[in-house]
Amino acid sequence: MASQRSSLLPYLLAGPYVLMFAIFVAYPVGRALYMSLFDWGIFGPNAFVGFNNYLSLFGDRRFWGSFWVTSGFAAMYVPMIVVVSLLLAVLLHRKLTGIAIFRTAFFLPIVINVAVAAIAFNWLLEPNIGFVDKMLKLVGLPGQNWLAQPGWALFAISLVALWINVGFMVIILLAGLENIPDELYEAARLDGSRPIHDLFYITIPLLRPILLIVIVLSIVHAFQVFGEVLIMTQGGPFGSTTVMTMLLYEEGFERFALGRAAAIGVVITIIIATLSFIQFRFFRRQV
Amino acid sequence: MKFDRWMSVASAAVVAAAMMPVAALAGDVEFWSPFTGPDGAAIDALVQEFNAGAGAEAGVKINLLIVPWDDYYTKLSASMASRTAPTLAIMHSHQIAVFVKQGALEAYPPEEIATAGLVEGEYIAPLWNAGVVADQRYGVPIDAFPRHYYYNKALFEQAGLDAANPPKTGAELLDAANKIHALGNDTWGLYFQLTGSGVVRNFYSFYWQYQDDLYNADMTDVADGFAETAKKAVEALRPFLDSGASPKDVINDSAALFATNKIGMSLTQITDLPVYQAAAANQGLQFGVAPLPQFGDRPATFALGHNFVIPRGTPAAARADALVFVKWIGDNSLAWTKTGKMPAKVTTLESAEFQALPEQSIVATSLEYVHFPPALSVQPAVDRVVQQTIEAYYAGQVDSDTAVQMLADGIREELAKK
Repeated sequence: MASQRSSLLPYLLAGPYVLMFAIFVAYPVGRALYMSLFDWGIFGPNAFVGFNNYLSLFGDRRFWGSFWVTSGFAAMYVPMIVVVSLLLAVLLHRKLTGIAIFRTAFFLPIVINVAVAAIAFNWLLEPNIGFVDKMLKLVGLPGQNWLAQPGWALFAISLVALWINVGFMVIILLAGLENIPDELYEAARLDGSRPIHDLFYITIPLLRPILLIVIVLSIVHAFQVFGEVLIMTQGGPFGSTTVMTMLLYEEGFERFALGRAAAIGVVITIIIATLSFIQFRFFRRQV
Repeated sequence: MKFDRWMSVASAAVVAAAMMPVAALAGDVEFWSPFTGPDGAAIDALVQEFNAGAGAEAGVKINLLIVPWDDYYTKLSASMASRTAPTLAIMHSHQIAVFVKQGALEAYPPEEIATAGLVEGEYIAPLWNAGVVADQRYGVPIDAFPRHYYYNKALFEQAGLDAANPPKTGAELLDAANKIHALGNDTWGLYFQLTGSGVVRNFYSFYWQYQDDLYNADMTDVADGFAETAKKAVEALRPFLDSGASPKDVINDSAALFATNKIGMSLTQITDLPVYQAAAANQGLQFGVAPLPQFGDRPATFALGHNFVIPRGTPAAARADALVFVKWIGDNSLAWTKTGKMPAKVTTLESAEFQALPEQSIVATSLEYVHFPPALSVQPAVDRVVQQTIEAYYAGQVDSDTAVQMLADGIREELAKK
């Protein structure tokens, strides 16, 4: 009887998670796959269209445009967040009095709603009264109309995403840093190593598994960025920030082509899964 | 233990009751409106007046719910999908075809319109026609808001311009803008939007001043002569940028600059009127309004309107109740026009009270030649193509020939999806 109970225990413990996963992940993903095979409107499926939603997407300039915008965003955002979070993690790893306050400060943005952050940055980046342009002008640099120019708008959005997510990445990297023995640094010191050498020859090589996770998570974030775009630029100026999720929103909630929108969601999922698989598959041996 | 069990049963009953859909009382009309600010206050006052008077007499009560514009259509479509849509809702004229394609709206049969006492001849024709999709009526208009411009009388005086006779043609507008800009002190002659929906509405306005049709007869391609006309429409405001009379950078506070005599003329729409009236009351701004100047060979200006629509599945009795309110609003819409709208009904337009409204009555002269966008399900998508293309043109990313080619290609792609 007791052994029966103990054999049930793992399932009971895993049960709540499995239930939540089924409701909030597995079902929506399955439902999206199903919807993507239909001409689906406000009131549900109109007709089964097979893979036509996908085929029409691949022939649509707007889809490819949004793909390249998202890729461009990822190309800006991922290196930026990896470098910044690594530098912050190394700085915050020092055993100084009150360092916990700084760690908390960098983590705080993650608990702030994306909408709040995006609205706040809209004000900060406002060309006439915004803090950023005022500071630039103070030091003699020209201000920018950040959100009205194609390159700058995407860059500004990547900065907001960076500000929101960097704390989380720092926490992950700090956990990794804790596992690097202090003796290695002490030995390096005795051999005349300088802090920059420590970073490149001890910290980064030993953090590779964690860095891989940070890179994968950052790519996931990059392909899922939405709230910042919706609030700050609505995909503009002239479509230069229409990322794939924004296109999904337009198709689903402005045109009510929910089947096409679901197809875009499936494509985004496949892209993220493929990139993650490639990284884990080919870089696992190196880390 | 027994008490606990009873408490559980009672709690479950309360929760279940709370989750049950509440059946509307006979005569109650759930009405969704996206209007906020002065518009929201005006529609709320009208609803209260109706409920206290004509509504009470007819046994109809309007329950107003204000759902702000930002996510109005998302929430309305979600309510439709979950079968919890209101009985009556407000909708932009160019959105009606989008929802009709989804089967989300009830058509108003002619007999229902007649029974409600709504008479086509009493409505201003282009506004009335904007509620029709594929020969069926889905919207009854409440108003319209055409493009026109505001002008700053103080700057007109300083520049030696006649404030009683504002520009009527494109050439006159450019001349006035240059003279105002020449005053110096960072004064702009003419402000117009370089981004957002304003660029679309200006483009269509100028296009229709040269040619009536955007699309061919079966709505599968752009109209013959599109390229030539679109080029003129794209380039219409270029001289203002080239001469420096209009700002080349996006300005986010144009109304504030206008109120502080830094902008001479602002090309926008009548719905902005409350902002200018507030500046006149609080800052002593002296302003006038004028119809959109004529750049082409005929007068034309873009307009949209708000319409009453009935979501799918609304029972006949509830529709009849809703139409009592719709008819009443049409007959009592003077207060609504004071928030910066054109009336939908001829009787209101011709009334002495409306003609005494200085700004509205001037803009109303353009109702003779207003154009509404075609009633197509892909029209908002076409609008996006136009917006992104014209924004790119103003930003110097593409020249006018490329912009016209992008417009034609993008419009064709969207028309293929209809």
